[in-house]
Amino acid sequence: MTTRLASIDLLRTIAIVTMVLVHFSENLAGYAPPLSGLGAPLFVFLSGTSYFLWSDGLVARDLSDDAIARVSVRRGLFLFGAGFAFNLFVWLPEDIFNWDVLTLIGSALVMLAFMRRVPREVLVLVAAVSLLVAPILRGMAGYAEYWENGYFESDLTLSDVLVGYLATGYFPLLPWITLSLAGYVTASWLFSRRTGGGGSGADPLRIAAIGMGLVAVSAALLLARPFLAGPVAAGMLGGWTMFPPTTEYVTGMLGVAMASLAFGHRFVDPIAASGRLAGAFGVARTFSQYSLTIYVVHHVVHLWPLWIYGLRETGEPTAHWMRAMPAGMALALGGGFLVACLLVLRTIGSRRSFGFEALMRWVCD
Amino acid sequence: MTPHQRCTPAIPPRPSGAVPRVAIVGGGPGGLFTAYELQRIASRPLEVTLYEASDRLGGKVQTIRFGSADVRYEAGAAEIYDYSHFGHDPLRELVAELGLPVRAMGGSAMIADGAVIANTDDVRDHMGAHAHASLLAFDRLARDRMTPHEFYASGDDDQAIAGIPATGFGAVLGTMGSASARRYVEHLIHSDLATEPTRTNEAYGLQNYLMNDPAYMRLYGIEGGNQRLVDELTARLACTLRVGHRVESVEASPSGGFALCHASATGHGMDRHDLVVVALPHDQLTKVTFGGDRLRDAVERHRAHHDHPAHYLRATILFDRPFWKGSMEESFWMLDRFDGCCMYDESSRSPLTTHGVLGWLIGGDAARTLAMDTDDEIVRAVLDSLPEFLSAQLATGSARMIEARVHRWTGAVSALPGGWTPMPIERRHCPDPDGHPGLFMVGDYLYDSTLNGVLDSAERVAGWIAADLAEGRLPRRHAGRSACDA
Amino acid sequence: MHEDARPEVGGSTARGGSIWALPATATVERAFDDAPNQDGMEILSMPGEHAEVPAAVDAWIDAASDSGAGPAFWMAFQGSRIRWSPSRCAILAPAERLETIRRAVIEVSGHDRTLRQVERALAAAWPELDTDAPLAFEFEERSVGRRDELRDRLKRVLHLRARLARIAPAVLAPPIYPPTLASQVADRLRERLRIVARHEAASIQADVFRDTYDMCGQRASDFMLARTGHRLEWMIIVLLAAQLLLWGFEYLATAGG
Repeated sequence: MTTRLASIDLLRTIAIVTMVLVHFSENLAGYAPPLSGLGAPLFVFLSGTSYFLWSDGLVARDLSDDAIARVSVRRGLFLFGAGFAFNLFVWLPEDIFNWDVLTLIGSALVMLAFMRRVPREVLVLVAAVSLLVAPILRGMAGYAEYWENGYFESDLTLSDVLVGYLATGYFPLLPWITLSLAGYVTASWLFSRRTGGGGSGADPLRIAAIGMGLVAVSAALLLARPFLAGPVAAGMLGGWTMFPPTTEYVTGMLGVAMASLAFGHRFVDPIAASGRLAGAFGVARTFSQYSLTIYVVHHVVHLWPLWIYGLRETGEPTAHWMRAMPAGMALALGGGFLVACLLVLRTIGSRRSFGFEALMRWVCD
Repeated sequence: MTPHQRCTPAIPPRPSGAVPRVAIVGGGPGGLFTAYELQRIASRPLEVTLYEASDRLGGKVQTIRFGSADVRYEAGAAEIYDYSHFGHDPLRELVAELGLPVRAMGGSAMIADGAVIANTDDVRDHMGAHAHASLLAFDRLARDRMTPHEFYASGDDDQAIAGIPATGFGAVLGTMGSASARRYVEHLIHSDLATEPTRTNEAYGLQNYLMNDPAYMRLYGIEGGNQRLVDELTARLACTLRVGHRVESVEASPSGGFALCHASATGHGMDRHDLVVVALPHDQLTKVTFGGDRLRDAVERHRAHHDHPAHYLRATILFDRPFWKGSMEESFWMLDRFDGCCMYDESSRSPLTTHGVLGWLIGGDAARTLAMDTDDEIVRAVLDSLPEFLSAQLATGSARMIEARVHRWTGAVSALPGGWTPMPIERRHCPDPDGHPGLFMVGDYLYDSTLNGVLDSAERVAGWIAADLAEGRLPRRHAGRSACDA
Repeated sequence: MHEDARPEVGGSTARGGSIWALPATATVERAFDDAPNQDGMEILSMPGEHAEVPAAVDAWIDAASDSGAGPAFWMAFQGSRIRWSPSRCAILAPAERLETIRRAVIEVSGHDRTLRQVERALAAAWPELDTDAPLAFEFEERSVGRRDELRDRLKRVLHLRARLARIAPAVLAPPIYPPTLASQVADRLRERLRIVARHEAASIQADVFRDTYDMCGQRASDFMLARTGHRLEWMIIVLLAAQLLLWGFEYLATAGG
């Protein structure tokens, strides 16, 4: 079992908390809090980071590359399939090809399974190419046509399915794969290899500097956009939006994630290793360990009652979507869900034998 | 060796499938080596018969036990020359092939005027700076005249030692400025030469000086006695051994091959052979009658060319303890008595024994003269030769003589192996290649008077015989010219 | 020849709290003081003809042996007596021979010292070799970080091999002829210390280390070179894939209307 890093647990907890509060607020009240757009990129970035640490631990246990790849592909396909199931059962049947976070992370796992041995520089290139190609693909596909009502809608045709998967869905492969790949590469730079007996990680502050440099690039692009030529400004840039995930947004969030992870490893991990603030780090560890479970459960908890109530009252499940209650109540419900989650997980989750993660391990490992 | 230059033995027309018969005259190292080599390399079956006049095999290789104690000593060849560090050493390989363990031997000291001279520092201290410088100059000259490679290759070809004229060794010794240094060198090599230094040629003399240098050659003995070499060879031979059968005559047979007449305690006999190998010491060649004028003359010319007899005498004494230990630690050392002789600590070959065995190897004229004395007189003479620091222990009774043995090897070795001017290799071994191409000679006197030399000789002859038989060549006769020169 | 002679004439010498009253004619000097690991040697020289070694000298030598420096042995040659142990040596010889014998003993002791140091270093390095040996066959990405370590180990092994090579001409030279007193003493001492066999054994071991780390270096170099070429190939593949993706996506977008 790999040693958990408190910095990763903390960042993933921030992502989860942000995600829960934003989803509760948006779906129940139609209000997008200021933290919208923070959780998802952090979560996707950390999925790459965690994959590195997990595979590195398997290498340390002398598992063959072939075996690691097999398990990785199984997990990836599991998540990919779980994504479809999630859309089908938690959202609505017509949302099955929405291409949500689960299908993205599943795709990322499968890709990383095969690209794990590729030189890091090549991974960086792939991430950069995916970031730069994404706006071009969106332009080709006519992104706006798929988001006419403010949410993703597509026809059930092969071309639309693929276009949505690659470029126009909620979490299309391009450019979101950039974050996952970047998370993997950052982890390989930052954390010492436990295998081979040698090689210490890079200086975290140097990684943090790179992250902040990316934030600066993003800021510069945002500021310079009005002054750039039309094809560049319109084709490659798009301001700071999550839907679509513009170049500035992805660059900036990538920088935030890298800097956060680097600073966390530099300053937070030593504190955790010394035993201080054990309670707080324990909370973070619980949330982090059950992140996928919380992702699924929080949707069920706040959407199913909404659909049931809507169906009962008006015959239309989405009748009260985004307008069921005030924002404050929605946020309070979100917070209450988080507290209840923590209590339940601390009580019955110590064995780690239940939940989404345990199911995945049981099926795939 | 160039087999295609070898003249083919005159093998008469015989029924197909007939096995060629080979006679080997002499059961010493030469005969045994030849029989062993033939057995090893012949590609066709051979019928080999070895004739030995005496009641034992081994010739000059003889390890004997004292009667009064279970202690061995070497009565003949005491050490074997080791060239393996320098190049191909067939004898060393044969010893290893037979599974015989060896023990290195060495000795660099000389007892002169009652003092031990073990190194050049001692030379300077006892004989003076002039002698020291003279000795070093002679040593330099010897190395310049003969390199280790030339030393190793000497005897292979008639011109192996390039640039060394066929001059006497005395002339070389005469270049030494110090009489005492010259005497030192003469005493040093006298027992190896087995003759007086002035009676041998420069090449042989230099070889016997330089052989003391480990860079040129090393020495070893076979654990358990050098006789083990003979015993192991004999045990492996598949030929017919006729011990106690003295070959009286060898004559070419009208129907081809040779007729051998031999005598033993049971009577006379005559055997027919296709080939004959005479592996006798030089001084025994006259004991065999070679029939036919041509053959007789050829053998006589061969004998006369190599007629440079040298002499050895061995006196070995068993003592109750090795009283010389503490003063003399090496396997052997030189003594300036009897014109220079070699003293062996024979008991060093048997580490477990508590007895001491000292052997004197006396050579040259001193050996020939001493050989006419009785054994007791000889033993007294060698005991008198001991320096005072050793003889004192005998005088005081702290050490005691138990038994003594004397072995005379008069004329048994050659003072000039190969003759004054060595013949070509092929001619050395075949006295009459045109008339009697099937008669060969094997001997240490053809090379260097050592076991190594006689093995080289035996390998040559065995190789030629095996090659000719494998190719089934008929002889070509060229009047007045040897087929070997083709 | 490494020596730092500070002869002490007669008197006594102390080690480990005990004192021996050495004969007045004995002088003690130190040699090899600049050797690593404080691997120096004390040499006692005593002129004269000695039928037996004085008891005090014996005790002085034995004390060094008892302290774990190694067993002592003695040699006799032409009226001289030599008692030798790795850390102390006593030479008792006629006055005119003493200096020659002393120099010969010091020279051979120096070779012995070098051999001991090399043998110790090689013995300590075997576990590392066992760990590194797989890299002589195959070098992987995860081993890239160990290149510096492997290079340092190769350097260390080459240094050991060089030390063996430096003493080889003296150690492996055949006995000279005609021999001198010094050469005879040196030959005998070399024989007793098994210098030639140990040198050969150490050379064989050092060659194993050198070959292994040489191969590791070769594999590492090949890997790094291949990796660079590998990266360029991958970059070309990625760019081509991007081009294919754009072309394919354009087709999809067109097909979707």
